[in-house]
Amino acid sequence: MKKSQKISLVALFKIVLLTMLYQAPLHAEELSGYDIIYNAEERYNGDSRENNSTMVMINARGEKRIRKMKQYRKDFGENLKDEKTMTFFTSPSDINNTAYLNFDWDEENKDDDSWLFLPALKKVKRLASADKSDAFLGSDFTYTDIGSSKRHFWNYTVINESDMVDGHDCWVVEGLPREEIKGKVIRETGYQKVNIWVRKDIFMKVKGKFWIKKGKRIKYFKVSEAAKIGDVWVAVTQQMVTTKAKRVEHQTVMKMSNIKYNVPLDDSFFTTQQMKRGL
Amino acid sequence: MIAEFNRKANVLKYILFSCLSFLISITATLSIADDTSVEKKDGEDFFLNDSSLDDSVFSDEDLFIEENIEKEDSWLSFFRYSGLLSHKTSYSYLHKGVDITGSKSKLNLKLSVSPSDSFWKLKFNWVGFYDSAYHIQGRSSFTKDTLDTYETDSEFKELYLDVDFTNWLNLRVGRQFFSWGETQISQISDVGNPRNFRELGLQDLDSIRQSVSASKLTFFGNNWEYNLIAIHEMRQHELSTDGSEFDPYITIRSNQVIIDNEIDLADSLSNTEFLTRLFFSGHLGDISLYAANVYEDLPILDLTSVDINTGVVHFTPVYERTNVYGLFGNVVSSSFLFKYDLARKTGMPVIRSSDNIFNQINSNPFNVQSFETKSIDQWMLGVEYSGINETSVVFEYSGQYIEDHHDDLADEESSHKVSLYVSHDMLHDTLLPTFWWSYDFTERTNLFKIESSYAYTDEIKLILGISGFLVGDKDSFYHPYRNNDRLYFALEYGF
Repeated sequence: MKKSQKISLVALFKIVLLTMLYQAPLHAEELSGYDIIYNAEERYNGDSRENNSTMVMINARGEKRIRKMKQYRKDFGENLKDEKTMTFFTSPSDINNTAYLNFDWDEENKDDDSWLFLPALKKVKRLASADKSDAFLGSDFTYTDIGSSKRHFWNYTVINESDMVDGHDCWVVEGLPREEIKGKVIRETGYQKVNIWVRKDIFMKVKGKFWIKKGKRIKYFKVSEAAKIGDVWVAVTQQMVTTKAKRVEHQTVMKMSNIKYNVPLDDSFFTTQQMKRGL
Repeated sequence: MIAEFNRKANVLKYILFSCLSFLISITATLSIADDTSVEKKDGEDFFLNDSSLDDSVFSDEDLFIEENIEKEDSWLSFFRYSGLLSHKTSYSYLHKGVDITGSKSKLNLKLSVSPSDSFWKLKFNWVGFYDSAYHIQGRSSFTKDTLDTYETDSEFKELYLDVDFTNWLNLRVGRQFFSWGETQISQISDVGNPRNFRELGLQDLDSIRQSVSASKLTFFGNNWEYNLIAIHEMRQHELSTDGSEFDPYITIRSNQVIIDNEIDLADSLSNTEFLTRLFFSGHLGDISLYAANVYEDLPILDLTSVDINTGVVHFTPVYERTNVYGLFGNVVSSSFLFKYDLARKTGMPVIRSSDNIFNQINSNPFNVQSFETKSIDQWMLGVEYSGINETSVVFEYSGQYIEDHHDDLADEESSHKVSLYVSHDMLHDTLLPTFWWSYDFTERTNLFKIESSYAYTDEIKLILGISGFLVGDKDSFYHPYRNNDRLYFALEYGF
């Protein structure tokens, strides 16, 4: 194919894409709550990613604890809908060299496959599907928050068509457990209700409010820094605050750095052998 | 003396009860606080109908994180180091002579060298300790063996080179662990790594395995792995020494029975041990099939001589070569993990009963067979449940069966034990109470450990625990150790 033909095809593709983007707000007006959440969760996030993460946990007295990790993610399976994630914990010293491998399947009722390498025991351990309302590393983020959201658990309704967050127009979507599986949803996620703010221009969840059944707590979520890296919008800094009776009990700030998308990661990297080898 | 003993027994019961009450009360207090305080004050509807979002709850911690990331990037690319400095003080309430049973200072240093994107990695993991309890109690009260073994020691737990020839072939050469098997309690499939039995099963799980010098070749794909292992270092279970409180031969030793020093196996080519394993992993669970030709790490007492004039009998601990075949794995179902270890071990040495040995001595003292080899089947079936909030529950049942058993053997034809482990993360993973209990049906003995660790900061951790034996009767193997309980406190500093 000649170079001029290639360029014209690219130009045509760009025109089609731009047309679609310009039309998006018109369609967005008609989007249902489910559609908004679907688009937010299924928006393009690269075929693979490599990043460092620093997590700062702050208790009610303002005392801080810090967790550092290096994370790798790769999409696989048909249509690249399944995800493999490898996390190596690097700090503090008591969790240094701990590795967590997770396969997140796109299929709705298929549990994740997970393994944990415990350096103290020198052992790779298969994990059962843990209580998804458990805290991730003692933070305010639960496994539900950081993993797949299980959209089929919730009935989503748009409760506010326009709310400004840091100068960006957002939908406010309310999620209530589906009535027929209400008990299961609350048991597995810990949440009685969720409100999610989604930016209209980039379909990113930028704020959230979560009603926790246990202890009648409320958690607040916020993306305090978003950035576009290549073609991908990413929540660089996220905060989660747990409150009780309007008093902050505990909070977590999670910040990603050295973010690289579409890096070549071999499938052999996402194996139990790699967990034992470490970084 | 009996009154003193009873007093101490009562104190122990009190301490045990207090620890349990403490753990239960913390859990209960937090649970009750969780469920009631706000409910009375605000009620459920208040929360569910309030859709506002209060920005004042968020604090700006970005600058703090930036500083940390800069520090991290300057170091992480080539060298990684970490360490642990700890001090553990142990006290024995039921012990007849020595009350302070341990005052151990330990240093653990870890270093890995791996240039980014390199095909090799070097790892060091060194541990050394000094126990001042022997100095406090008076070193002259202890045997030389005991002081040599328990007072101070150091070793490389790991010292190996990892080489990735391709993305499907890895070689690891040096001192290392293999950690086969699913059970944490019994050594069924984990035949490559000997154990540390210096405290007869009451030591920490993370120090129970012993590393060995070996070469391990691993072929692997996305969901499978094949290991070929040659062990070059002849290392066996670490047992307690003569004169120490956990001496395994404490009931045998007497004026008439002498246990000589064991005959060490040479690190020779002919003694090299071989292991192989094929591992598969799938959505339903993992499975490993393995075979090994190794030395049984627990020595067997071989009767080496009988002095006809004095009647003194000499035994020498020796090691027998065995073949092991088996499989281990797990099945995942929701929040349950069902796990298993199955092994058939041939050529396993089994000691004869004392009556049989003395009958042989009486009939022909120059031709006494103190043990014979048998095939032994071992198994473990277990379940782990992680469906309770921040809680892990593990139950294991394990047993063994001696084939072609007869009445002249000391061990029973079959033996069984169960164990239960419960842990519960609290206060955002800063407080971790754990409970471990095991019951040996054959020896009619309970072993227990109750521990609570608290992370005061990221670097400093405090640990309080109690462990010991509850022995059923005098015939139990554990009866001589029934007073070796431990109440301990540890302070750890990680860096």
